[in-house]
Amino acid sequence: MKTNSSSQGGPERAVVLDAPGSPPLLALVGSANSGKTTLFNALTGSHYNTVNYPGATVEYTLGASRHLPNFSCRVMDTPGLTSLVPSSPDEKVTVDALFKEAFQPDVVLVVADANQLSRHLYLFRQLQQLGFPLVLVVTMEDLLRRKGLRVDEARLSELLDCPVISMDPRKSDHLEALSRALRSVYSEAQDSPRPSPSQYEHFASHLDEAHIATLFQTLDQVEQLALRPFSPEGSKETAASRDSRSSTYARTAGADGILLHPFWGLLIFLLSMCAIFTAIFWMATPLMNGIDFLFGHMVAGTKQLLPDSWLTDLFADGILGGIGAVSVFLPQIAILFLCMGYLEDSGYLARGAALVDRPLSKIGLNGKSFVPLLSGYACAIPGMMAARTISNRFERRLTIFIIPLMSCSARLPVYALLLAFLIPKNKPWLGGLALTGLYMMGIILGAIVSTVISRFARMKSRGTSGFMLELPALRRPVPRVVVISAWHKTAQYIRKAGPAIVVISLGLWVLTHTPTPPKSMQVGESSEYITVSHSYAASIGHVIEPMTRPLGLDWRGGVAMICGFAAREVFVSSLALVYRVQETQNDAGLSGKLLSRMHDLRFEDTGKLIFTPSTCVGMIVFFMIALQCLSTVAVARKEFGSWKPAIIQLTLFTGGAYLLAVITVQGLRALGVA
Amino acid sequence: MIRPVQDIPKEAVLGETLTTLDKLEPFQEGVVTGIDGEKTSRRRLLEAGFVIGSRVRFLMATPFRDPLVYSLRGTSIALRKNEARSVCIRL
Repeated sequence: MKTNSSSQGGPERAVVLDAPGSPPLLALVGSANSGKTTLFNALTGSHYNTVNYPGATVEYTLGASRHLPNFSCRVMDTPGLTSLVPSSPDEKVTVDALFKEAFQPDVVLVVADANQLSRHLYLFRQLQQLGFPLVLVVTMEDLLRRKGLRVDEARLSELLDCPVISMDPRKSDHLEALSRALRSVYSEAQDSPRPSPSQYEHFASHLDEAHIATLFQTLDQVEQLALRPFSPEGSKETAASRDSRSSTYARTAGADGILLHPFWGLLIFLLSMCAIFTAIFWMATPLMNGIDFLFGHMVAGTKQLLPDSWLTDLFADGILGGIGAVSVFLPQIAILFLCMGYLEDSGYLARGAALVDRPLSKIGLNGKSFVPLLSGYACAIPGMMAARTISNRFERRLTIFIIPLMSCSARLPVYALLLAFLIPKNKPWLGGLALTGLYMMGIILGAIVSTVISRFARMKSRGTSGFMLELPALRRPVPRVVVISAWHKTAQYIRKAGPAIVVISLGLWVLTHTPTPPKSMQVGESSEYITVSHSYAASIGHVIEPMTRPLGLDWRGGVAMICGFAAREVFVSSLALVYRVQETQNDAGLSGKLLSRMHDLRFEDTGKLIFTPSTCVGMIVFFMIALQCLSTVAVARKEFGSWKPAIIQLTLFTGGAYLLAVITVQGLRALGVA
Repeated sequence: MIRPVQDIPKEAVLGETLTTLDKLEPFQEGVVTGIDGEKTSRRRLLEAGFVIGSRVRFLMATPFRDPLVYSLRGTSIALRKNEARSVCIRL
């Protein structure tokens, strides 16, 4: 993958980043549930981009302060942070950003939850000790007021020696006051030097346990002095308001009493997972068909409009086809991000992670592996990127390692075709059952691999495992926030996976279309078929035929399998191509015709049927396990930080898939299944 | 109300019962007196706010009895049982 993506982005991003004399940089820093990202959306009007720091492999989210009156600046959002001493790669991104010279912020905006001031001010104090120019935004005071308390802004500002603004980012109020505070802090701090990396080293090495305890003692006092009793009618603090404070405790505990109940909690968890998967399948299907249809016609239309040459074919099949291959999964991925964003914003996702921590810890993983694995069911790539929040290195790498076994959406068209072949038309329910089984197999296989690896790993390399996760207050999600974040995550996926998939599909086009066959060959037969059967891909197919024979496939099936490495579902269209299934006017759907053709395809030499039940079951086994996606390999390399584990992953899963598939096919045949 | 549990080491220090976080009963409260365990995990707990003198309330266990959920400094935090065991408290 590219590491320097400033060239990859559009002109807007380049301006935001690199222009000399560019506007001041404002960094938003705070804990995971402080409302930091909501504030970021309020400031930027949700127009932002994920950019790479030149030469580094991490992303920062950067936008312009469109909605901040009278203070034009660039705003950077950062992953949630508890302390300046990072405990996960995700947190390290933020700390790195604060000390990278080219990216060092002019003002740091710390976001803290009013309900847990002492915890959230801990990071504020660390930043202050290092000498960053700071402004503090206190959020969620409405919740605090329901507990009968309010924040005394003036007092807190005096105690912390820093401007304090209490605001609700969801309502975009108090932006004028925020702008004033930022302007004054910025103009004061303009000439003073920023904290250097060496200062940070010094700070981090001196942050011992006594220091942490002292910091918290100070913050306890600050909290006590800055919080005032509050009652809506202006009356004094009464026993009633104290009662209401404890009843809020009881209410949160009450909801959790159900959500984390041994029976109801598990039931709700299973139902919500079922709901997500149902949404992914049934809601996405019409959209995916639409995109498929659109690109199919675009490819055909391009071929009709442009002169008939190899360049047209390259553009239509290689580039447009490649973009189509990426786009077709967007509905599923976007729906998954929407569902997860909804659960995250409501506070449920953290509870889900806590709920599955124990079962996952049994197989060597962590409750925090839950979100990455769930994402893996749409696509391994966002799943691997989500694993950055896991602080234990061993558990993070193990999570990344087994993510490709989760049944991603690219396998669905392949399963659909093969199951349709295997299962009699009058028993459609059997297909649904088989598909559910295949999805379950993903997590079962993942559990087996993970257990084996963690059993064999030395204790030293495993490190200390722990699970500490804040369960944020449950609240109703804001649809706008959920939609915007899902949109940006989907866009990030396109930027990550898109270029690789298009490049690989271009490469495969070249393999399947060169060298050009002699003119004399092109009589009677479809020219497309002639091209493919004389291409390098066909030569490779013939070379590996001894390997595909035990699977029950001839060289043509091998070619389709190679093409599947661009993206698994390409297997289906390649199959149609190499077995000469033509798209004709009376359209019964390409896969429908492929299906009927599969029933009478025979080996060129022996004349036996190619697609038998045993072969199809074997191919399902192969697709279930094989890491047949080069884009995933590229992202895995990046997330592992080296080639070795990524190559091991590729070899183990693809090799293992092949062996198991051969065993399945030969075993079934030995048992008398055709 | 202090309700002593069977396996609590009942060391009475100045009339107070010392125990660890995992031994609390639902909605029982304790005050942190120190943290045992390995350095990284100790630091993580400290930075989350489990410093000496902090009041912690046990809310509930998750369905598989681990992790456990505590209320601390205005928020709820899920913690594995073995981490909770390393936090010493007095009732």
